Amino acid sequence: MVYIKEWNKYQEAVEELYLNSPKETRYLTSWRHGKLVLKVTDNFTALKYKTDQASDLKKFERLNRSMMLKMQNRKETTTESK
Amino acid sequence: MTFLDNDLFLTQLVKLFEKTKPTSKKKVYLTMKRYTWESLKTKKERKETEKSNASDKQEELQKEVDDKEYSCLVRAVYGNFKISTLVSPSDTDKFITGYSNILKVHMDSMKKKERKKEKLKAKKIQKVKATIA
Repeated sequence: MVYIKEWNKYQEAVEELYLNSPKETRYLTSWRHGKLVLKVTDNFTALKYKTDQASDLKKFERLNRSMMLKMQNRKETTTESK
Repeated sequence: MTFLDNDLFLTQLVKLFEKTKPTSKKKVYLTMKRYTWESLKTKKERKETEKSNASDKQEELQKEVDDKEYSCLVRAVYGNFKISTLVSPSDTDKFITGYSNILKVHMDSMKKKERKKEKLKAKKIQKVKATIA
């Protein structure tokens, strides 16, 4: 289980993993009183990220959105700043 | 397990978060996955076509761009309480805004502004590395 420490690196790694196997990759989140753990796996490799920082919440939400769009095979629009 | 409507899923998700207690050891699990459900027939057909194609042709098939849009399966689990829903591409924006709001409201027990401590730690690590090198 690889824990990646920096968010930017985690995001890049996750997007690459998803592009390689879009059918198998799944995105898991677990949260227990103040600690957030993300895991993205395609049944061969797993990438994890954990945090307890409120500042990571926004990034987490952006990642949620981009993951869902990828899974649906939709293209992201540039007008997302809300 | 049956799928809930997106709106019903969101209201149930709020209830789920309200059940969580700070002292409990249980976690809230959220899963997101592409939903590609195939009946046994279509699975068999797909496997047979893959076998009958020569390896040269397979490369061509892999290069084909997949233009289909899929629904996204979203699941939430807390202890025995399990809910799931399918988000179709047309409902994405609505669902995501609702979903993000719920998460923001309930994930409020995270720490804020611990950057100073992190910076100190990073500096210490750098010093140690410099002395070793």
